[in-house]
Amino acid sequence: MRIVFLLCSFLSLFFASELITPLPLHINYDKSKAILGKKLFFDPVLSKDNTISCAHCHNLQEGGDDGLEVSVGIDGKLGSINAPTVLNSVYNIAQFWDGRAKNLQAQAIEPIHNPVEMGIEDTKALLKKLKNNGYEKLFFEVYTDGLSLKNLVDAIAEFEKALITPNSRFDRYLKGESILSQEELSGYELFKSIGCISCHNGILLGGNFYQKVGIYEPYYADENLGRFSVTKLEEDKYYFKVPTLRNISKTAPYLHHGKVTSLKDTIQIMAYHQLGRELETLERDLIYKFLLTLDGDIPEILNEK
Amino acid sequence: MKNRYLRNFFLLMIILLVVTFGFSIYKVNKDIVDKSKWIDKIYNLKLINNDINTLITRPTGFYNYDASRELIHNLHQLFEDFEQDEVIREFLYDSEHYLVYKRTKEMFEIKERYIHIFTSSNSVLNYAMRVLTTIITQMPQNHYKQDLIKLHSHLVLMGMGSDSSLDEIKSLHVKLQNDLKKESSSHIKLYISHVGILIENFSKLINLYEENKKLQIEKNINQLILYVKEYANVQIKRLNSLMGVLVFSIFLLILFLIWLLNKKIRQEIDLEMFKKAIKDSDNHIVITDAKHHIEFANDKLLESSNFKLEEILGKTPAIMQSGLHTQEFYEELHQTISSGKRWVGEFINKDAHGNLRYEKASISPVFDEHKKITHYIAIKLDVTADKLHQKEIEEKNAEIQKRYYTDYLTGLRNRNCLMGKLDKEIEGRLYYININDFTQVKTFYGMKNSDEIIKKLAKVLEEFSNNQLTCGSYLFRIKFDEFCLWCKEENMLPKRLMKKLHTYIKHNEFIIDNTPMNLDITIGCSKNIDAKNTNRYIEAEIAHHNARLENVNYMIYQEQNRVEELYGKNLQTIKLIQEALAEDRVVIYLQPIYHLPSNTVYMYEVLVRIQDEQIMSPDMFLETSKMSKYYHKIMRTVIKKTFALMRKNRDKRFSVNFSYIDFTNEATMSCLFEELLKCKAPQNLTLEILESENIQDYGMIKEKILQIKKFGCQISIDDFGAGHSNYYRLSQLDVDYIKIDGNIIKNLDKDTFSMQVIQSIVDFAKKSEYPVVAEYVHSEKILDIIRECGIEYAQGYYFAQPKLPSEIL
Repeated sequence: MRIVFLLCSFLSLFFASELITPLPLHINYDKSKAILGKKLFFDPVLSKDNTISCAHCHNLQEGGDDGLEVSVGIDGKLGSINAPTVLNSVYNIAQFWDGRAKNLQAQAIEPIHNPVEMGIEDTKALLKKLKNNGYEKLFFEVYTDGLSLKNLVDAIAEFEKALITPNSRFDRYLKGESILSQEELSGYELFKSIGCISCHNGILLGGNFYQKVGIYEPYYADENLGRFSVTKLEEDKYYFKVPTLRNISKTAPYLHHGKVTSLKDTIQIMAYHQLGRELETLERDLIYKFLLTLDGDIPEILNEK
Repeated sequence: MKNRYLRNFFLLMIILLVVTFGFSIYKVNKDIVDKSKWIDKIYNLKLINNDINTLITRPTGFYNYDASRELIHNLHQLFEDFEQDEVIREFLYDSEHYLVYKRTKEMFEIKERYIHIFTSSNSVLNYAMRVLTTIITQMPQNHYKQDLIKLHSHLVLMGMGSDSSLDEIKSLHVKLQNDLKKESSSHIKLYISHVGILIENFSKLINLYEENKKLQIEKNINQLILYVKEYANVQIKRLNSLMGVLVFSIFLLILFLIWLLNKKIRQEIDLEMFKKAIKDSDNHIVITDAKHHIEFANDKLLESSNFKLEEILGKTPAIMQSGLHTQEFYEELHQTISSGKRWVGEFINKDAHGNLRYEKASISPVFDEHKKITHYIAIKLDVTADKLHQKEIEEKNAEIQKRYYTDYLTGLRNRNCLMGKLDKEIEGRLYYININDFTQVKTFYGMKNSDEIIKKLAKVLEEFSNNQLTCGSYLFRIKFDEFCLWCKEENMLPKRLMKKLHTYIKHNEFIIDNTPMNLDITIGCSKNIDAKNTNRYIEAEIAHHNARLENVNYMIYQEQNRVEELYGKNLQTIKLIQEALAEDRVVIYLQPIYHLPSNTVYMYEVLVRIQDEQIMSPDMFLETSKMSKYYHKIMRTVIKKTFALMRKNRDKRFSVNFSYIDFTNEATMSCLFEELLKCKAPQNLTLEILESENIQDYGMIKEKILQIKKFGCQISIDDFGAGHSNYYRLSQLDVDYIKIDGNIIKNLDKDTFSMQVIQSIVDFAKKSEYPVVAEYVHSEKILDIIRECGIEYAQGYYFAQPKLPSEIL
């Protein structure tokens, strides 16, 4: 059996097209919850001083992030890490760069309480505030137990679940349309052959596991130790969740520290540290062109009332 | 009332049953479904574990890591589900269960980490392997290539699952690293650095396999499954027992329902029965509501009252009132029933045609559960016919009674009435009035006229009683010309009354057939109260009798009157005989008869006695007994006892006295012959025939004597020389010897006439060769005399008094 598996795996090296799968056009979610979640997502009432909403750092029209190196919270406080995109996040193995939130619900609660983000200290006060803003009725329409923190994050998570960006040109190519240019196709071939695909694969082209930053060449850009901060294991130092490459053109600046603003630079940095090779400019540009085909449609739910 | 409660209870039970049953079924069903679901979930753990194992123990290769991500998602989802599932939470209350669960969860966290390690290493490994393959194929020939190819083949082998080559790879890698320090070929350097990464990641993976093996998560999951199964079984058992209880209670309920149903059916049958009973009853039954409006009347009422049902429905029973009762009567009735009591009484109502009906009625109120009166039930019995009958019977009774106590001829009270009166009135004298020589009057005037005389006398007596006796007197006619007058208070002395009455009658002129005549009467008067042995009627009659005997006009009863005395004594004697016979106190005594020349006992005379307080001799009872049937009984007793004596003493001779009336009594004679037939020595018996009585049919006696003599018995003549016995008759009968009358012997010593009589009898006997017996020989002097006379046999007190057989024999 092992031999069969082995042969298959080696064959897959050369026929690796199925390593990337297209996003579905629709995803099953609880619409009433998601609509409530959407309202909450855009409502700055969730922050301590009613200035910051979720959408503040996750611009859904523009890649699902804020385009800043690090996010700005209440009172202009700065975060410590580049905000990842919320789009397609339901397919992540876990949330945050270091994967400390197992799911969307666990993720949604953190920024609310994070003193440099929305800065809510008193949950009861928050709930009271929501009540005053007419949320109680809305919650009772959806949840039998009405307004609670749990239901609050659940609604937001349900909304985020709906945030998928299908119909990217690459997905349409995967589904059989000959829509990509020769350059883009060459870029894809290169993406596979030089080994980018060994980490950026699956439905999100990433997001499925953690990987060390600097496999071949150490990469010390900042003091962030990645997954180590969650597991406290020496061997987990510099391990970060492999980020998705979907909508990559819209989610600058790049890398966990957000210090690289150019996508082309980012491609080169990654090839050098992760694959142990220096890309030629042509190779870099071809890959760049390929990456641009990964921009999908704006999530359907944003067009709902 | 009770019924409604029962029905409500019944309904409640049904609802309860349905709800309980439905709920239980639902709950049991849900529980079972839930259980199977979460058992499935636990099994899912096993499946996920297998998936993880498959994933992380796979050899290197490219993978779509979506699968591993989904695996982790599923794992998270599973544990989240567990912790939100109430059944599992319940299951985890058990500390042992929780421990195993917690350990399992921790192990899965480790597993999750293994996946992370595996995915990151595997992706690097794959990449490195691929790069190496590219490098090695593009590498130009050099003297390291041999080693490199060797290394590469090891790497490929290792990639195919052979862990053993890792050490060799490592040593080859170190050797090449050292050898290649001077080497500047970028290809080789690249290759070596890749191999380093590769080795590092391979080591990680191999390490991972080992750790995974050691984890023994399977064992834990199995343990958990075991617990879950046990727990589920316990739950199911609990459910089963719950179901058992439920089924049992349903069973009980069904039994109860059956019982209720049965009861209800029976009640309905009863009700039907009662309905029929009311409908078909011979009583009149009316049911009204609380305001006395008629709701029901049975057929019998309609039939006998001639009302139609529709005529009386809704009306009050007042339409049947006859108007013969007072207003108070109805008020009392209403008061009784409206206070909840039962009224019983009689109505006189009228029917539809206005005829009166007599009704015995009872009216009872009927209550509802609040003890409020809802209806009245009247049950009435038409006694109109009975009333008429009763009246008729009463009249007839009175008539019969009158006849029973009234004399048909005179209209006076009769004997029956008198007896009743005497029983009732213990005081008051009774006067017995009788016409003297009424037989002659009857003969003279004829039957019809004599009745007329009686009637007139009755009238006169009544006049007398009414006019002369101021108070408390009754006149009775007993029979023929016998009248009785009972006078309660002696406002007149009896003698004066009788004298006055006698004069009153004697001077009264009776006109019979236009002929005047006078009657003479005799009056007897009783004592004022009844005596012990007689009553006043008998006393008055005796007094009258005595007055007639003494030829006086009237007499008052005296206790010493002879008739009454005799009457009393005879009664006593008869009673005494009767008792003696019943108690076997009639016995026989024996007196020996001596043969004087040999001075020996020739035979014994059998004498009858009654054993009372003293021994009674026959002259005290035998004559009296002849007046009754008891004489013959005494005689038969004597015969039987004599023969019994003869059976015991066959060498002794006995003589028994026999009189004429014994010969005429068939029972006595057949008794004698019977005994004679049985007797083995009849020749020892002598019959002494009593001559003193008047014998009428000599021929019959002769015949009987002949029959007796055939048995060898002897015959003698008793009391010869007295009364009726004479020589002629002696010759007529075949006599063996004669016995001289004791009265003659008794006076021998004083009376010379007796001497001569004896002498003549003895002379006659000697000539006719009859032996002679002398009785009553009470002294030696008399014995001497009879010896001189030549008499050979004698008996008497001089020899021996009569004694019991046991004393003599």
